[in-house]
Amino acid sequence: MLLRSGKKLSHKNSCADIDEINEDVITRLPVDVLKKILCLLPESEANRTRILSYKWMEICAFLPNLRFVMPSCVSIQQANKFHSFVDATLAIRGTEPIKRFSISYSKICNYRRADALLCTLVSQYKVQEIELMFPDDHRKRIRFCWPLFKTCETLVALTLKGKFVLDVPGDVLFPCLKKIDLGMEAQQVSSSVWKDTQLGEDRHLMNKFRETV
Amino acid sequence: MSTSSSSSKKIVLKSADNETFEIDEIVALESQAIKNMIEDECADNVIPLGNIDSKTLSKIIEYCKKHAESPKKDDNADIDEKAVEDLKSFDAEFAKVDMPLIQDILMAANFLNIDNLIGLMCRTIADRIKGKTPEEIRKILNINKNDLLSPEQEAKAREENSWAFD
Repeated sequence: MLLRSGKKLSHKNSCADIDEINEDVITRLPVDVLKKILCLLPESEANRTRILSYKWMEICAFLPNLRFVMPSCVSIQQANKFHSFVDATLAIRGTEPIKRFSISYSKICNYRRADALLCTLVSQYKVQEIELMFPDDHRKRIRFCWPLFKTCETLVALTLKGKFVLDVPGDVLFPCLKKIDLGMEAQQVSSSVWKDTQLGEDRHLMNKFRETV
Repeated sequence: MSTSSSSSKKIVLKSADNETFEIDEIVALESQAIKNMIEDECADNVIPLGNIDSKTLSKIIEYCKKHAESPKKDDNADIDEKAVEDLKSFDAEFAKVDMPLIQDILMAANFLNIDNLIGLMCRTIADRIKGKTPEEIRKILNINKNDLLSPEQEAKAREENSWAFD
């Protein structure tokens, strides 16, 4: 104990290494404050800070907006690595609500895990905006899990890109949804779905969608 | 307008290096933490701030004085624009200090819970690291070399977030 403090002191006096004196103050700041700094940067720059150091690696997990882009994978094992990375990021985050969640999958991905992720987002993270992208793969159609959103009282915007089957049960209600963007080749949709939704501001978007179906 | 007079209540702050600063209570109230202490009547005549040195503390007092003197937004709907501009240019001048001091001020402002000052320091840091490479940012923020990722870990992080690095 004594030895350690003595050593530290001699470092300070010798001025040998300036880094020893100007301590790494920033990493002693609470995550909330560091997060504030990152929120003032463009999204990609904020996310690049994760390679600065161990502490910074984790701060990005707490940003209000999360974005993931799956690299093109050649095997399901490789795809699972990406899914695990997303899960690990959420595990670091704990239960802090997410404002916008954006995820883009590549052709080879684990649809079961993608679905499980949506469940988690909706049930645990009070997510307000979801952007979900699947690649155009003619062999696959993704059935969108509307029932999941029945009880989601935070979602205000939903963007879907890719090939989805929109086979929606009639009793789906979006308590808060204000904006829906279906920029994709949707396959079918039961007309009863819109009847009960409380789309406000962006009703025109919905109508546009209807025409294209 | 509340002008600080000699009759107004005084608060004494004591820095880590035992320097004392006597300030008007209204200035001290800029700090939510001190405000809570005063309201809960658990503040003695002298408030010791064992983790803030005198250099940092005097900067913080300078900031709080200026902001306490300026009319608050909710005081009056049409506060004159000159006062707003004046405060803006004060903030800009105030932030023109070296990075270690900015970080110390931010640390102390966070401890004292001075919201505006936390915001100002965060903006200043963000402006200084904006558009810089990771290597440059490490230097600017003086990030501990012992805390760096291994080359393998860095490569993995880059790969997992390749969209941000493209």
